[in-house]
Amino acid sequence: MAPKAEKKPAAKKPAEEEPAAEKAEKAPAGKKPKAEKRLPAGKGEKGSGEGKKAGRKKGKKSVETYKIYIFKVLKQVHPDIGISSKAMSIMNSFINDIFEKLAAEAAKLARYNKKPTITSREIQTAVRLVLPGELAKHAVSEGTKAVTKFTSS
Amino acid sequence: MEAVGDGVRNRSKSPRFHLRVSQRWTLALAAKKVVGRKLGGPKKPVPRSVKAGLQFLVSRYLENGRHAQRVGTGTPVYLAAVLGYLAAEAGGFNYLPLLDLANNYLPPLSQ
Repeated sequence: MAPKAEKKPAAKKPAEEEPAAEKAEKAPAGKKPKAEKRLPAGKGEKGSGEGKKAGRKKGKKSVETYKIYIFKVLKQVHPDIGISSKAMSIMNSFINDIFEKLAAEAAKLARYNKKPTITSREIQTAVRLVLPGELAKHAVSEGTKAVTKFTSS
Repeated sequence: MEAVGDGVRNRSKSPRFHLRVSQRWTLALAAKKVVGRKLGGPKKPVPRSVKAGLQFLVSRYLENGRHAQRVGTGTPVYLAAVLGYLAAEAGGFNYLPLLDLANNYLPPLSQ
């Protein structure tokens, strides 16, 4: 019961944030065709996610992207620097690509060990396999730090 | 004679006033305690991104993608942290200041 209650608000909040970002993008007249072009690509990428959300929300269709989170990270590191829409699309594609690689590798690892569960250990090993050298080291430390903070809170 | 009488009356009134004030304070404190208990009882749901101190969304993409039958609780947290780190690093955002300097950071050979 408790974890379900926790998961739902987490799912709801990004839906609230995304339309604001979309509206901001659509406000200038010049950018409208670009926004229209992105919608089918977004839908194609995450059909399964949309299917579930559409069923839950009774007809609302939302396009899920990483753009607001990429922007948050940018503001964390460089508070006074912006990012163009094309660069944001590239970063979004990059995140989707890495996600698919790590998820596929973790799924393979789970299958090799005949286990039905993907745990943080599978993700850690997948990170070590997929990312080269120092990137893997730092990614593993970031992940371990986040999981430790999550469990302690 | 009258002055002495008035003095006695004033002195008798003042301790009563003080007692009343103390009673009011105790009632207020009791009310605060009750209200505090009620507010503290049902905990508000906290998003997992905030729990883990991340900017990227802790979500259920792994479950939606059918990569495995089951997904552990720490898995999306770990994955969100890795994706956030890679977004900062690959975007050229210079993540170095945020890392622990004690880690003896060496730049990757590709860069």
